[in-house]
This record gives sequence, structure tokens and C-alpha cells, in this order.
Amino acid sequence: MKRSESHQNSAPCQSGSQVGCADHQLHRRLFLQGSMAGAASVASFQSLFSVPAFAETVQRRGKRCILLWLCGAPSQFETWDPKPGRPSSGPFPSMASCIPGVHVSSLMPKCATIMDKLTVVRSMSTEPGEHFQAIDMLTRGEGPRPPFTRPILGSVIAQQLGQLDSPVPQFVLLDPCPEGNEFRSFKAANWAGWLGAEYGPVRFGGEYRLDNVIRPEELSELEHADREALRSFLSRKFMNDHRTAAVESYNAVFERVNGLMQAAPLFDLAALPQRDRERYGPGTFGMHSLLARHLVENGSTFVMVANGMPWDCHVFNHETHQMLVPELDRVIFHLISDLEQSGQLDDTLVLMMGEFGRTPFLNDARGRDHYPQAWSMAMAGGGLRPGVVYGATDEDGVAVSDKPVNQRQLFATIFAALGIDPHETYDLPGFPTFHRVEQDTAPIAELLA
Amino acid sequence: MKIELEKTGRYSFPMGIQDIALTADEQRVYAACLDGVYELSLPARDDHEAKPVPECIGQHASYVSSVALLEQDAEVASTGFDGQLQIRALRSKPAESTAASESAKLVAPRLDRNLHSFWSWQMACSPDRRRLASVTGQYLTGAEDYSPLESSEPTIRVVDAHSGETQHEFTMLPSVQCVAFDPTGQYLAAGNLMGDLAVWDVTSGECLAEWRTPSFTSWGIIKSHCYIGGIFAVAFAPDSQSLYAAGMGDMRDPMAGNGKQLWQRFAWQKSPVEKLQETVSDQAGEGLMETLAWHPSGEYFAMAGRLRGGNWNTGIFSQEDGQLVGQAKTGMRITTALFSPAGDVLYLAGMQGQPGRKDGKFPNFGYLERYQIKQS
Repeated sequence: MKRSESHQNSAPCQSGSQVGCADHQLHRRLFLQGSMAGAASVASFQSLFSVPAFAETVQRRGKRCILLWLCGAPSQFETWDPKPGRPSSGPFPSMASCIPGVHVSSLMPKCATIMDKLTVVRSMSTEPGEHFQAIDMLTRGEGPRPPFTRPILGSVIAQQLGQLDSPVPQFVLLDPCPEGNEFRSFKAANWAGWLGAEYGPVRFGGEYRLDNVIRPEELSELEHADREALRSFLSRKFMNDHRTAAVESYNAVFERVNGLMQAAPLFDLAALPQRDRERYGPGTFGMHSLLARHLVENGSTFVMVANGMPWDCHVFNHETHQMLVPELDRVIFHLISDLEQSGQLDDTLVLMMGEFGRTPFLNDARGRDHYPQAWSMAMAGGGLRPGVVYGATDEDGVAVSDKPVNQRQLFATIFAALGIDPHETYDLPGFPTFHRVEQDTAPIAELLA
Repeated sequence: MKIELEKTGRYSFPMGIQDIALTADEQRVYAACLDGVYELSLPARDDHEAKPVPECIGQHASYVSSVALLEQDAEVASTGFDGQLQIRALRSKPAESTAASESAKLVAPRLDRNLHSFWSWQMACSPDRRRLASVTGQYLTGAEDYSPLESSEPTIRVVDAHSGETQHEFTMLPSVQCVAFDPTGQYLAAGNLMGDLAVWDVTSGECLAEWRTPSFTSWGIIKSHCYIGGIFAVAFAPDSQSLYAAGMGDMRDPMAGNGKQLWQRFAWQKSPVEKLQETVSDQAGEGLMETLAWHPSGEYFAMAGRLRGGNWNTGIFSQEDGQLVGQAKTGMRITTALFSPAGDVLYLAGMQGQPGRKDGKFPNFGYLERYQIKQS
């Protein structure tokens, strides 16, 4: 499906990055006016913000999001929802957090001190119990309805809040462990859906560098620019004669590579302060979380940090969580603290979640199995009310006992926190009407700032 | 030689069993369970209908990992995932176990001291019952490839079994998951996540041998970048000359639990240490092996654990040539195998998968099984 078709027919008048939309033209005109006026008069630049549409766009554009994707699904008992003294509890005790009456696993002593900055949902209740389907649902917000392909969260946010003309990739997937069974299969799927390939992620693997974006030494900058100009001219000419989605995607890829060549230094982890690397590292998950912070600080809109599927603890649940949770605890603590100290937490939404939870029951392999019925996730930052622990499970963590939250409510809340309309209509030719979040699902007001 | 195992009893516990200790008269079993230390009065061997009810006599703040009997069975020592060592005096006569006595009859420990800041993964008692050794270590990320971080505390602690006072502290990379004394009580061996093995002289505190076997440790590539597995049981041969290690062979997917059921035998006094034998490949299935036990005759040993694929999860192996000479398929994960002092009975303890709640309660899922041994 061509995105341009959707513009002609639509409805979605999403942020100013789309061409052809009346609102966009208004925003662009106002922005240009504001830029020019701003050179002469602060007052007149500020007055621009009295125009609601412009103010909203600028405000939205400042927002970004980091998703710590805990693929495989961590245990809620060993993280956010411990059940001390119960048969389901596991071997790790709980500990008091800085919020009176709220306990977390003793594997999370650092997060316990910043619970007043986090927003934790203890009552996630979803349906898919297998990885692929659950990853799909918890990254897209809805189950599949082929042939319509719903874009994943990162693509929507990059499209809504990002700037296509930025050389910095707007949607980055940091993916140090490219394997991962079902996650690997999911990664091979169409992430951007109907939005088009340009809203898919730039994927960054286990090596701390971007491949094939360094200009060969034998090619001068001038020669490179000449070649690119010729390529661009021929491409435009070809596109004028043969306008197809394939040609558009081809050109988008070239544009992206051009951008990446300029942005490559941003991915140089070695250039980041040694102290930061020591605090976040040494594991790849921590290092990539540091890189995520660096990228959003420098213009990326959505960065997803994955690390294979290490949380899928059907065997050795406790043995694995004793290693993974302290790393997660340390990474969350530093990430949230750093963003807060640099004044960027208000504009950066940090999500920490997997695709479901794990069973209250131990299997005979020392493991916990898949459990979508009652699980936990955490968020922090932009647009959310901090220090909230929302919902509850029963004494053994078997069922949600208060305020169940499904994936639609979660996505509506995430979009609302970022200033994105959850109920945007997707009117695409040949399809029924879809919405960004289906069934008129409302954001959870208690979680929003 | 052929060994046949005939199941003659099965007794349930509220939660999984991680270790057992048997009194010399075989009247009582003490079990380290996930939810406490339990005492069970064993029925007569010919009573196949009895359903004795275990009594909880002590609790740790986390799972109990090991138990050992001290002072001529008058005391029981336990260690747990709370890092504590507890020693409690036992009643002179066990209470009658009836359904009415299900409620816990807790006995306050006479000694309760901290050994480690993390779990006591396992505790061993010297043959003369004068020393206890406990091993610990949390696996924390130490490098980009998720190799373990060095421990900030000693990972092996040897203490006086009466006073709990530390006699020796040794260090090995975390997590140190198993420990055993030799039959003379002079040597101590331990094994860890990374396949490291070491032997110390507990009279002098000298480290006598250190080596690594790569066979038990997996590094994930299919799902995750981390190490998993390691050595879960060590046992000296009756002559103390060989050390056996047990666990699970390499699995490419760390979450599969499908490595080979594996033991290896080492001549630990040779320099360099020499691997002498290991499980005959076509005699083993898949699954984590967690326990090794020598028959009092010294002619054979048992290795047991979890069955993931194959025909047995308790294998009996000849001392002479390492061949599989007997087997059992129990339907539960086995954490401890223990021969009776006379050698005519094998006790197997462990757990099945924890069932879901029924009527608001979790059904029992810890089990002790008793097997009659027939040798031909």
C-alpha cells in the first residue's frame, strides 16, 4: 500500500512530517514565519506558541521514547510484584521502596529508591500466550487483521514525532543479540506496516558500529556529493516517469544511508565518557541502553533496546533472574536518573516491558512458563504521573484483582502521554476504517500527568 | 553387574525438596524444602499403604537448600537461599505423623548465623560431622559477553559444625553451585557455573588442584547472551583418588534444558588434572543432573536429576568401567539421591512441576521416593 494514496484519501493528518496535509502546510508556514521573526524578536517568536496547532506540534516534536524491550518476558515476581511468603514467591525476598507500602523484589534495590519517579502497572492482562503473537500484539497494540499491517509503536512515534529530514535516524533498534527464536522471526516481519519502509527502524547489531556507512578513503567528499547529486537527479527523473512504492522506498533508503553517514559518530560508544560506560555496562544490554540515551539526546525519536530473548526462563528461572534483574535494575536507575538530571525526563518516555509475564507456578525444570493473565510493566518520564503503582494482583499473583489493563489501554496511555491522538483514524483505500487504538479505548487517566 | 530399582514408597511434601538427610536407623528423613525444614517419620519398609505427613520444624527466610544431621542425629543443620546456617536440636522421639499433625511444629535454632550475602547454593557435611562447607555466589555480569563478575566475598566457607565458627574461606568464580567432602574428610571439592573445579585440603587450607571443564556450561546464542548450567554435583570416589562432576552438557539454547545427562571423572591429583571417563554417549538422554551418590560398597554410584528426553533420570553406573548398569524413570525432577547405610535402598527426593491453585491452595509437589535395590 502506498502511503501517498493514504494522503489523498485521508484523514490522517498526523504531524507535520507528512506532505500534502492542510494542517501541515499551516504548521510549516507558521514555522517559517516564526523562524524569521524569531531572529528579530523573541516576543514575536513566543507569540507563535499562542497558535494552538503550532504549539502542539512543537511540543509533540520535543518528545521521544526509549523502549527497553525485555524480550522473552521477565517474571513479575522477581521484579515489580513480589509475593513474599507465598508459594509462588520464588527465593528472592521483597524490599521496601521509597513509596510507603510499596515493595519490589530485593533484586531491584536501586529501582526501589526511585519508585517515586516510575509508573508501574501491576495489572497487565493480555491474551496471547506464545512469544510471536504476544510480541506482535505488545509492540503493535493490536492483534493482526491481515492484509492490514499495523505499524509497531516505534514506527508510529517516529512518524508522528520525528523529523524525516533529520540525518539522525528517528527509529533505532539496538539489537546486540540478533538471534532469539520467535523474536528473530518477528524482526523479519514488516515493522512499519502501512506507514512505509521509511518509518522502519535502523537496526544496530552487536558490533558497536554502523556497517557500510563510512565513505571509502579513495572517494573524496566532493566526488561523493557529485555522485549523490547524479543519483538523486536520475532517481527523481525515473520517479516522475514511474511513480511506484518501490521507487519511493528505494529513494528513502538512499536518503537514510546519507543520513546515517552523517550520524555514524553518534553510534560510536567508545566516544562516550568512560564513567558512563562503567555505570551502564559491562553487558551489552546496559551499553545499548546508554547508547539509547545518547541517541535520544541527539535527535532520535524512538530507540528500542533489545537483547535477544534472555527472559524466557522456562528453565533456571531464578538462576537467570539473579543475573538479569540486577543489570536491569542498574540500567533503569542510571537511565532515569541521568535523564532527570539533564532535564530531559519530562520529554522522554521510557518503557520497560516484555510480551507477558511468567507463571506463579514453578515447573519441574526450575523455571516459570508464559503467563499473560497477570503481569507487570513499568514506565517513566514524559507525560506520565510519577510514583504511581497501578492495579494489583491477588495474594499469589494468579489473577488481576484490581484495575486490569489490556494492550489497548496501555497503548492509548502511551500515545496520550506523548501527545499523540490515540483515536486517529486510518482510512486506507480498500480497507475498513482502522484507528490508532481500536474500540475507542481511553487512556488511563490516573497514569497521565 | 545389573541393578534393578523397585519403587516401594512415595511420600509427598507441600513444596519441592532440595536435599534430604537420613538418620542412621532409617527411622526419619529430614528434608530441605522450598518452604522450610521438614521431618518425616518413615513407615516400615513393608508398609506400602502408609501416607505419613511431614512436619515443618524450621524455616529460613528463603528456600532451604541443604540439610545435614549432626551429633549422632541429635541435631539438624540447614542452609538456605537466605545465606544462613541454622542448627536445631531434634526431639528424642519423633512425633507420630498423622493427618492431624499437619500444622508446623517449629523448633527454634540453637545457632543461626549468616554465612553469605547471597544464597547458600549447597552445604556438605564432613564424614566425621565436625565440619560443614557451604558455597555461594551471585552470577552478575562481569563483561560484555556476560562472563561472571568476581565475587566480593569468599564463595566457599568451611565452618565448625558445632560452633559455626569459620575455619577456612576459599574463592572461586561465582556462582559456586556444589560442594563435597571426600570419604576421609581431608579434602573438599567445589564446582561452579563456568565449569571450574577445585580441591582443597581442609586441614591446611591449601588449594591442591584447580581446573576447568567446558562440558557443563552453555553460552546462549539462540535466545540470549549469558552463561547457564555449570556443575551441579561433585562427589569423590570411595578411594578419594577421583572426583566426579555432574550437570548437563552444552545446550545451544540456554532456555531449553536439553543438554546431555553428563558426569565426568577426573584424576584430580595428577598434574595437569586428567579426565578419565564420562557418561557413555549413547547411554544418556537429556536433562540437568543434580546429584551424585556412592553406594556403600563402592561398586557403583547413582546420578540423578531431570528427564528432558531419553529413558531415565536416575542412572546407576559401574565404578569399574562407567557403564550404565541400572536406571529409573521417576516422573519428577530429582535433587537428591541417597543410599541407605546398608545399601539395600535408594532414596530419591525432588519435585514435580508446581500445580495451579485448587480451592485456594497449592497442592503438594515435593516427593520422596523409596526404591528397593536388586543386584544381579
